[in-house]
Amino acid sequence: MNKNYFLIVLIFILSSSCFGDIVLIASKASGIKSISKSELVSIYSGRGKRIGSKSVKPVMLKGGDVHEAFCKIFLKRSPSSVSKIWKKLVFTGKASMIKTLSDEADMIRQVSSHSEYLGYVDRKNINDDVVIVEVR
Amino acid sequence: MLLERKNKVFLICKLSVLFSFSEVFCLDFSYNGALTQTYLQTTGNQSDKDSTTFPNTDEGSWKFTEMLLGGSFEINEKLRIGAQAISRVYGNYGNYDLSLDWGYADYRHNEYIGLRLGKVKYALGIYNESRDVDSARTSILLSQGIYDEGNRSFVTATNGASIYGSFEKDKFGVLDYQFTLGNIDIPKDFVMNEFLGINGLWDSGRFEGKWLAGMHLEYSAPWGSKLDGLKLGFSHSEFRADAGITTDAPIPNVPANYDFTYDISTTIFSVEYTQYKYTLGGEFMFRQLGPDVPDNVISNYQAVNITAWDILLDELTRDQRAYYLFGAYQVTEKYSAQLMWSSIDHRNRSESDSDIYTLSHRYDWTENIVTKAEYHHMYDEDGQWGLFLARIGYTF
Repeated sequence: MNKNYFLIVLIFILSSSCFGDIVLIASKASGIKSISKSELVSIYSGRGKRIGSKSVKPVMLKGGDVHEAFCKIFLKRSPSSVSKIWKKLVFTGKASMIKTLSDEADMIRQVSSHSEYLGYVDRKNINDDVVIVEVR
Repeated sequence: MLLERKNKVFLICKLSVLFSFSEVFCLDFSYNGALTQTYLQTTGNQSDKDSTTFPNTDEGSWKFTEMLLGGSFEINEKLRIGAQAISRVYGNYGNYDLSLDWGYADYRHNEYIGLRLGKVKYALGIYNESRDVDSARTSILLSQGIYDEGNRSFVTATNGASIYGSFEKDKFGVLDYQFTLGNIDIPKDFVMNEFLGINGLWDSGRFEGKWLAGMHLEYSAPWGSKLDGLKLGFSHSEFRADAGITTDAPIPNVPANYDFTYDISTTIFSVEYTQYKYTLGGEFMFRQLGPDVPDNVISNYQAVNITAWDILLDELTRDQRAYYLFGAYQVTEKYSAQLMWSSIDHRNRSESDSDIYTLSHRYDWTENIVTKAEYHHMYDEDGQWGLFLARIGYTF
């Protein structure tokens, strides 16, 4: 029993360190402090464009562990499934392709300089140029 | 609709104007394109099994090629316009003619209501709108009982308008709706035109769209709930066509030309359940189609013993059921597989029933290059046979 408990804790710790602690970020100038779960899913599914009264544009990482963790934890989809959703939207004229960025440094740079962008990074990589958006 | 040369030029100009406007005025412009090439091969001594859409596949065929090029830009947060051109050959159809896949102005007033005007995509089942988007699914072909490849060039979009929107509440999920009204462009080489002039029984046939009305409702369960990932859909459409037959050998008391209307009524129930790496789903379709011909006309023809008329009526009147179930799994980030069972049931026409088992593989070599391989094993009135397809696609 104790062995099993130890294994579960170990797996949890290992998986946490693999995926890290993903946080949503926005520009300081955006004034965005929180977002509801449904708003988040709606925006990253190409359906919604607003958080409350504020207009936003989602940005995504091209790939990697942080992107995979974001898709799994926040959207409950695989990265390829999220990619397919956007291809459907673009090829049927319902949306422009979501902006994708190569790494977290670029994500922070882009989000900090565009007040309408909404992105995500590993908490350990965050700096003072952006604010964390709480998911309520 | 197959465009004439001047229409092709107009279409290219229209896309060019879209591109240049966005550059000049720094609008939020995006463009996209795709190219796919597919190989088909039927197995099991199937020279007599070739469909009208894909003939001679027992010897192998490369005649299944598609090219898409589109672009759209946002004029402001509420208004976007765009267009997509398509060119393809699929078996006996297409001939690489350039046509407008969709092209419309989209005004989204708020989340509850929006309006699209032009050649708009319309939902009929949960996959009709995205039928042209090969990169968005694991399989090459969708279930043919519902999404017949032979009709794809004209059933994915309508010239007209659609009103759409969604209602979303955290605890109740999302309800999307779409109402469409318009008409569809039926190409001159559509099988129905050939069929109406069946085997010389009639000299020529005519089949043209008159109007189409459709509605689609789609419910998605709330995020984070036990049912998260569940999607339910309901679609209904009514389509009317003007049709006619002509003969050069008039018979006394029987007109040489006869025009009639032809109605197709379709209802589809859909379900899809997605959990991270796997998707399960299925759809059930009722479809009734037939000509609206007064009884006295039928009796006039029958009185002079025109058997061709009986054949025509019999062939044109259908009461179909089609359904399928599928399961797809994303094995790795690059490789996915799908299993599907589908069935077509023609009421009162048991000789046409069929069951199809399909295994599909998809491998994403890069973000842009995808290869697929698919095998269909079919059981119908004449036994069993197979269809193998392989596809390579490039998307940008």
